[in-house]
Amino acid sequence: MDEQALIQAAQRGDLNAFNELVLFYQRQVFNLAYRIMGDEDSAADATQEAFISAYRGIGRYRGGSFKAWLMRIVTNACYDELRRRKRRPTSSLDALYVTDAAPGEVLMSDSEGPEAYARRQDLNRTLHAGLQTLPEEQRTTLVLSDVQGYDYQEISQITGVSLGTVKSRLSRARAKMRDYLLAQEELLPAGYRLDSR
Amino acid sequence: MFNVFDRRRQSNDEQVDELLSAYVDGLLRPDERKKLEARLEREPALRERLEGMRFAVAALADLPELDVPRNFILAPSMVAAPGTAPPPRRRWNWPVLGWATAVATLLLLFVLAGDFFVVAPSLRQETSDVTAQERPSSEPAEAAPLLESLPEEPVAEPAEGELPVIPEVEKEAVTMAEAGDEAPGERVPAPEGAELPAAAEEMPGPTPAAEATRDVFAAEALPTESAQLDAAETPPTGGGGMAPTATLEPTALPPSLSLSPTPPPEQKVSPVMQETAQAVAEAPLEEAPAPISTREVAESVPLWLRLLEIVLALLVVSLAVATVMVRRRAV
Repeated sequence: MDEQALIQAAQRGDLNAFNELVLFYQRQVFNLAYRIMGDEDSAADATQEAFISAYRGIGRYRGGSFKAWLMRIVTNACYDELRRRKRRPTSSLDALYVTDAAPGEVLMSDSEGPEAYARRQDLNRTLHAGLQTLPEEQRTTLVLSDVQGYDYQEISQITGVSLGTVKSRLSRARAKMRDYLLAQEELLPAGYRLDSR
Repeated sequence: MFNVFDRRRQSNDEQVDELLSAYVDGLLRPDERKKLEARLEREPALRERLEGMRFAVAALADLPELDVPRNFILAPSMVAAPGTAPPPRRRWNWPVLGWATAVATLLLLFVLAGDFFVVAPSLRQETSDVTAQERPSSEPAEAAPLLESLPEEPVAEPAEGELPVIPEVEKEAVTMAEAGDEAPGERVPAPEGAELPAAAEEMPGPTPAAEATRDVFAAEALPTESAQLDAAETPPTGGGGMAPTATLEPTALPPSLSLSPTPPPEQKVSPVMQETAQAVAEAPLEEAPAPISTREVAESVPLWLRLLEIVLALLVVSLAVATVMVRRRAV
């Protein structure tokens, strides 16, 4: 995929070219939105809103990392939605249903036995819940760094803050996540307990 | 005191965590890394904190990546032209609408107060004035049209040297002159088809009433007749022996009012006189509704006021509803 050619075509109004970019980045965009928002429906809405905003604003894209530019848009879309939720707190009917399925549950791999698969699902559920306890900026920084693998410079571009702020937010988020996991230790599978390592 | 220690300890913990986080990422300078590793060997608690952070980082890195629930490709209907920002949605500021509602309400109250305390009393006053003017003697109101109609009636021009032809006045003068000392207050039935005004019926006698009404009727309604009569230099009214041609100016009353005590025994009434009398007698009936139209004019003033009040009330209600809706959306 020639990303620059697609971007230029999209800037000329070629919606098909932009949709090529959508298909390439939608998984990363959706996963970032999912970790920030905490549920799939909100993440899907934020993702769609982000792509619409990106297409409408692609004329203002002046080069650099298109991925970082796109991630910044989805991050802002998530922040907007979270602020809207704070102003108008609504209780979702889905929250009334308690399901055993972990958020973002994945299929069991061939090399993984049923027991290990169950432990991994428990850990994923705990980690996902722990992420939601973090402040928005720390959560975003932690997800970008430790879940999605961006380096400090990219995180600085995406979040629009300095490198020092990124380091500070990341260290605080990691420390809080560590403390959360220690507090939830009895809920963690035996193989994942910190004192058993 | 304890708070100071807590803050200092918390700040120290944050600095240590920042070092540990950078150490996990391999971003410490070599001298910083050596110093931290020396501390880790000496401090098991610090080593435990580092292990906990490494575990969290590794666990987060192992979080699975979700599949998208659907494709997010854009349809043409979902987007506007590329490179163009969406038109900024016009947001009504609800406090502005609130102020507008308050101003409109105050204006409505002001208009209502003006209606009740200024316009209504003045209208009542006007109505009472009109009634008061009508009440003392109903004849001006009813006779007014009659008077207005009088000058329009054709009066036969008398020939030079002759006395003017004055239908009823002449008749009455002749009658009175002939009647001599007969009682002047007796009435004579009105001509057929003519209704007597109430005030005219109450008129006591020819002389006082005629004097009183002369200024009104003779001077305004029949100026030509009066002038002609004056020009004839008729002697003032007196007892008997009055010249037959002498006329009484006061008798310029409506022709329907005959003050002669008895019907004229012999009258030389010309057809012109009869026609004029008939026309004058019928005239008041046609112009009767005039005073009512005056009242209607007086009452038409509040009509625009009512409309203004209705418009203002609708404006207040609309603004209030808009304010509530905009505020609900904004919150």
